[in-house]
Amino acid sequence: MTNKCILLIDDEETIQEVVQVGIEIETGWQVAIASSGLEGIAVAASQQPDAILLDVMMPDMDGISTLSQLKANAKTQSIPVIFLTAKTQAADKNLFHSLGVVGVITKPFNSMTLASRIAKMLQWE
Amino acid sequence: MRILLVDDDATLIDVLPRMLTKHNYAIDTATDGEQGWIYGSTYNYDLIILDWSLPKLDGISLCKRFRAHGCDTPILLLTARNTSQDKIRGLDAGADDYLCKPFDVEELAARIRALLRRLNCDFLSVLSWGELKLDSSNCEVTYQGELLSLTAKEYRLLELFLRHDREVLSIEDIIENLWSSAEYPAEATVRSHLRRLRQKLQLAGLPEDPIDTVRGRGYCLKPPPENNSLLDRAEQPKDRREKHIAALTTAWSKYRSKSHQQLITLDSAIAALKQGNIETSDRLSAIVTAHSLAGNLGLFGFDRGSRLARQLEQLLQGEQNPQQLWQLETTLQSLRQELTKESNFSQQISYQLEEHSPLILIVDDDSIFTEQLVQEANNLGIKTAIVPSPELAKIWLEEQPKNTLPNLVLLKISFADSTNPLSRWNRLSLIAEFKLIEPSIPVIVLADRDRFQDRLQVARHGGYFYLQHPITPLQTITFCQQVLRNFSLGKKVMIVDDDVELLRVLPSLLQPWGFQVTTLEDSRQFWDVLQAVNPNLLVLDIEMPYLSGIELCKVLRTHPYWCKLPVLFLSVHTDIAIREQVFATGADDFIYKPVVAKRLADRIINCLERRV
Repeated sequence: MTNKCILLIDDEETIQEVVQVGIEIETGWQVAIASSGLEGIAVAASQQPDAILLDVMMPDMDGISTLSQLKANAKTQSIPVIFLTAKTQAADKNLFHSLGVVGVITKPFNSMTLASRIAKMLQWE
Repeated sequence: MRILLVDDDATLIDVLPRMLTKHNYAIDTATDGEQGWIYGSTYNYDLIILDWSLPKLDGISLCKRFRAHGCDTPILLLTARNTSQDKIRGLDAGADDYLCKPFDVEELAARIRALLRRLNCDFLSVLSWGELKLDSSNCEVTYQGELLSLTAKEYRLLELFLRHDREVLSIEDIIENLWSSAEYPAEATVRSHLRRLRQKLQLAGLPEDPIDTVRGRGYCLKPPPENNSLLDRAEQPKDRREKHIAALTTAWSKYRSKSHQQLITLDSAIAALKQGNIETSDRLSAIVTAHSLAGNLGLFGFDRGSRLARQLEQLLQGEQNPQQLWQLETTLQSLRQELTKESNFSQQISYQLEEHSPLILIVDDDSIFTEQLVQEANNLGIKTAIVPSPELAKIWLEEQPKNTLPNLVLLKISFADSTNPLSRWNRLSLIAEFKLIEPSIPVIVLADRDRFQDRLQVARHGGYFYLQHPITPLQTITFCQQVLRNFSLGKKVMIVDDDVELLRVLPSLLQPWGFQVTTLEDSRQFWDVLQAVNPNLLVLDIEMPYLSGIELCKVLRTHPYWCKLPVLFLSVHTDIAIREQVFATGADDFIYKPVVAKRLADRIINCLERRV
């Protein structure tokens, strides 16, 4: 499980930094960063990460549109996606799951346990 | 350990010291109360054993006299009187324990050990220095699991150093502790005992001499060596946590000014709202700002700040009426105040971010004292929950999901107040209730007086320890922290399983409990790794290539040292026959796969506690 690569698609620099150092320190997995949906789709296709953490609320292209493009692209459709969202309503979560994500992580999250939550969602343990 | 025995029974004076010497105590004897007083007030003892009926000065008066002169050495009363009134009188006179004659010497030895443990606030009878272990319950010393053959003096010398970790002990200190006052060993004798002990430790394979010579002052135990076992050790959880906190602190220093900028954005948006002239784009930008603040502040442990920002986000999306505007202003004000707490940032982050930091449930209605307890606990990174009464504690418990049970309960009981027996009874039954819900949760009682009957009631209900007022909040929390640590921190857990993925993930999942986890995939290396690691507990998978967990456990149970090692089995088998077979080989517990970290940790703690 040490050589995993995670792609984070989020426009917030602070989230990018905390997720990156958090995951790298806790697990040694690599974290690739994309600051927008479009950039994320390109990085996912070229780097083929083991999983994608995708922010729902982003300017320009939001997480849901990004997800549908990822699923429509043969190169990226099989990469598991986890949503990062501040929406905590059950209805929202159900909607997200129906879109085909493997999990939803609610913001704010604890950076110390983030990696183990991801591992659980992806059944890497 | 040096003991004073005051008794006029010639047979006892003859027999008891010989019996206790076998347990490696140095005994002084006195045959009347006055002589007992002279010895007790002249020399330092670790424990005093007093007979009740003594010539010249009876045991009760002598006990009172010791206490009146500020002597806090544990006192055990030994007497033929066995009524409750006698016991109460004895304990009220200041004795710590009471044993009726005739008694079993082994029981006396166990009570002595218990009293000495209390004295040292040391719950474990096993003292250690790296992989060197001294087990005072059976007087055995081992290094990496191999038994060392030490003379009684060498054993006591080692015990003395282990109990006075890093204190400099002079030759006089050593004589005072190891020899009775009737013996006058020469300094050279002490040195030769010390030399022989050092030689034996060196022969046993210790990497270095554990005892330092401090020129002109005496001798001192060195800090234990770093664990440099041959195994490939991953980064310790503690280091990782520190690194993580450091990284978050750096990220915070970058984000800090942005968060202040975001507050200003919200401020001006709310001012414009009040004036009734806000642009739609400004309002949307304020919503995004509040959203971003909510997410980011939570990352840095500002939980309340995050909730306030979330409220702002919702308020900004709603209808704007005077009441909403007023709410917006007060919420923003609270958020601003919350952010001023950042001055103590790294401390805050270390305990707020650590979801798994231990939780103490405090049941006490003294709000001033509990407030101080919370403060001290916060400083040590321990979470607290407070309920003023046992009834509310039960409600609190019902509301808690199973995985957020407290790690320790601190319960105040007033025994002196006889006007409210129901309250006392409710508090005592709360201890029993906790033991039913989760036996591994230690319940520490904070009592307002120290009487044997009270202690007995607490012990009968399953109380773990009895603390007595007056005690400062800091002392109380430090004690709780010690208990929490003794339960898990630094305990070495060795896991043998051929499931490589499980072995990779378990150490990090067990990290919050502070175990030192060693994993082993190939059961053929079991014996070598076991000797090198010397774990406190072993987790075994049942089915493995080459050697099964059951076979490994059987081997352990035939070994004089390892037969006591707690073993917890892990398996996908739900078959009752296999389960029975596992317990028949000497397993302590059994858990089905898939493993949930919290459950495994609880069971490990439970096994360790039972073996203490």
